[in-house]
Amino acid sequence: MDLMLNDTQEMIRDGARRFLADSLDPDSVREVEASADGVNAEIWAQMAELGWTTLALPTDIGGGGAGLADLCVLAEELGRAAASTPLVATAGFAATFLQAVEPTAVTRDLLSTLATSGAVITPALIDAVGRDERSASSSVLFETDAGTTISGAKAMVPYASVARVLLVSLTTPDGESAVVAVNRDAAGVRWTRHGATGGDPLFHVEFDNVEVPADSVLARGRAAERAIEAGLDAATILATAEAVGCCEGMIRLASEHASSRQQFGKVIGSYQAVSHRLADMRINTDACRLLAAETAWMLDQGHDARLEVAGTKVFANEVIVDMVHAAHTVHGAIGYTTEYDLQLYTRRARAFCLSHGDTDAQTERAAVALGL
Amino acid sequence: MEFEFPAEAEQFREELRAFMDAELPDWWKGLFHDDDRIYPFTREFCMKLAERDWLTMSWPVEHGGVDADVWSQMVVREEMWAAGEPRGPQYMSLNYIGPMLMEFGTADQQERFLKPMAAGEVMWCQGFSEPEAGSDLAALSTRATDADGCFLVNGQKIWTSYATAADWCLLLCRTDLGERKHQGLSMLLVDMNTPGITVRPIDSMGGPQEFNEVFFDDVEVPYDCLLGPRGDGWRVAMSTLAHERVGAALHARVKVLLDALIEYATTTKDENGQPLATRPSVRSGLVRLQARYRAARLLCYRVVSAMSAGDANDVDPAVSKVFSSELNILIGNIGLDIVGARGQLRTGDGLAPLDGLMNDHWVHSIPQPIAMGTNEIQRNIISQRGLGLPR
Repeated sequence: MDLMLNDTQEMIRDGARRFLADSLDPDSVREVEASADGVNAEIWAQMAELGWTTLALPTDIGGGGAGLADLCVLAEELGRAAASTPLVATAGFAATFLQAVEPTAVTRDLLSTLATSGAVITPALIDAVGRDERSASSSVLFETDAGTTISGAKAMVPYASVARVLLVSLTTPDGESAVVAVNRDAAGVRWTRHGATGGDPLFHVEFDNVEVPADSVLARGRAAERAIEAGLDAATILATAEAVGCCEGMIRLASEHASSRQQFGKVIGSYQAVSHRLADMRINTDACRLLAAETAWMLDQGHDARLEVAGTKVFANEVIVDMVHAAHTVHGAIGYTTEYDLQLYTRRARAFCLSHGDTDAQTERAAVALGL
Repeated sequence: MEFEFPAEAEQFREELRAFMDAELPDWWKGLFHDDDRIYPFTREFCMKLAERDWLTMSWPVEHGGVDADVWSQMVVREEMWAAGEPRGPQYMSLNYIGPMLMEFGTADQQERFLKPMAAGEVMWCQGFSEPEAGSDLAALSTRATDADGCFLVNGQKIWTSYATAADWCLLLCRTDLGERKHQGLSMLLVDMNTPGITVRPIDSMGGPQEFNEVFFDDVEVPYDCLLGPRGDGWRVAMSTLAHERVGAALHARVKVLLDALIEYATTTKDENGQPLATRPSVRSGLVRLQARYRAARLLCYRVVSAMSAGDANDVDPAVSKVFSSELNILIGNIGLDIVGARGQLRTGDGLAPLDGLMNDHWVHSIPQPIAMGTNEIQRNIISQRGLGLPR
């Protein structure tokens, strides 16, 4: 048992913090948010060059051979910087999913694409008419002698406009689930960006009779569902680590504000109604970080961590919703303005609570895993 | 980061559990119950632990320990707290009174006091709080004045747990009047059998055994019972109080209660014949508790990790204490809601669900955010020392 960061993790933390401090400031975060693609493309490219986006991939395909726990350290730094990168979608979901399905030439090719080029591969799981990633898909996979096609629409696909490949969940006419790797540039794929709360650009993606090679069907039935679960588990924990970084940003801003803003002749941070809110933010942020770290470690060890993933998300959702409002309350009106940086963090944090399994869905998953 | 106990520590946990199964009598329900057998039992129990080197195992060999690793020590903390702390007050000797003596005691004091602690032969109580000095501990007014070759102590302490059974008292009192209230305090080691000491139990919600008032009326304390520099008692007290905050593994009891609640909810049917565990509120409550149990455990382990890496700070123990104590409150209340109306019935009543376990826990959870430095004080520590907010 040792809850201190190890040398590798300290190196990742220090390196990422320096790099992001040099290359990203709140103004550039605003510029990225306003841009068409909504992504810190240069940062992602540099991160890929530094080997950070492939840190957790196996060394034999060109990855860093580290674990999800190490990737969490990087994700937290990205959260602190309010960066918009596809780390969760690509290094979290796609990399895990592609290693969880039966290996084929296509999956090997996709993994080496991830490992060598910094390409973005992103999940397209939430059906346009579905509630979340795990809801049944009404998008359909047709397989006939004439070829393999898909039709339907997906909502809230992260980073679709810069993605090379989408991992699309579908249903066959027989009602079997399947996941297909679709080239984003294939004819019949159209995307439009949603207006959304958080920092990840989300897209509505339509598939109009898109022809795909037969071997792009990566998994079917239970195997497909299990691989999706594995990908979502990794993505959920990585997203939690990123949200912890956002919470750290909120704590930093709120502490600075409370230490300088004066009312009634005193700095407001000397009032316990203010300082104790901040203490609670510190407590709950630390708790989230440790839960995510332990869960990531369990996943790295290959342990069954369904209970831990779901429980971590339930806890994080609950306390982060509170933290968002605590941070705004400490700031007063100034924190509500767009020129102030707080909203960069609180929007991301609140969006996190709705992503990767809302409280209801994760509570039910955890309850089942708990034997209830 | 590494989230597994060392294999030796886990093996030791099994050994310790077997020992406790054999040693804990059927009547044992926990430390704070109305039963005269409790303190004599804890003394006997500690001596048996000491015989096996399990009482002060993390202490250095020279002081009667075996230099055990911190995780084996954590196993002891968890298993003891989970079982209602059958060591009685002696966990305090282990966690901070002993270490305080190692840091500030003279060679003679160490020789005189540490060995009996390590042997499990002696009970200590902590004389800090006073009627007018609770959270504002430095405002205390119990005086030790100079008499013929000794201190003469006059004053009153309150909320002193274990004072009826204790042999010695770690007494924080005022020896000198300093410019600031934190100056002029001194730490004395006081024999509880000294004439002039009166202990009066306070009947509390937790029963007659939990708290006491202790009165000092011209109590003579030899000069060689001054611990650390005269007038520097505040520093002596604060040096090891952070240890106290993780010294009781508050999360360990939560695990016992959570397991009991899961068992209860899955095996008890409601008026429609459905297990309670099918109710959304019950599912949600137990899931929230389970995640918080994990978090409480990890926050505690973080402090221990940092201590063993020589990287301790004042903030993380405060974080751990607030979180764990509030979780104990939460599980008391969620647990009572799950067992329902009969949750009012006390231990021993045949109709009490889980033999009154949740009722009993609820009562004993009330002091947790207050004891060992109130959670408000902990939040001050976190916001001031952790976040740099002004006082």
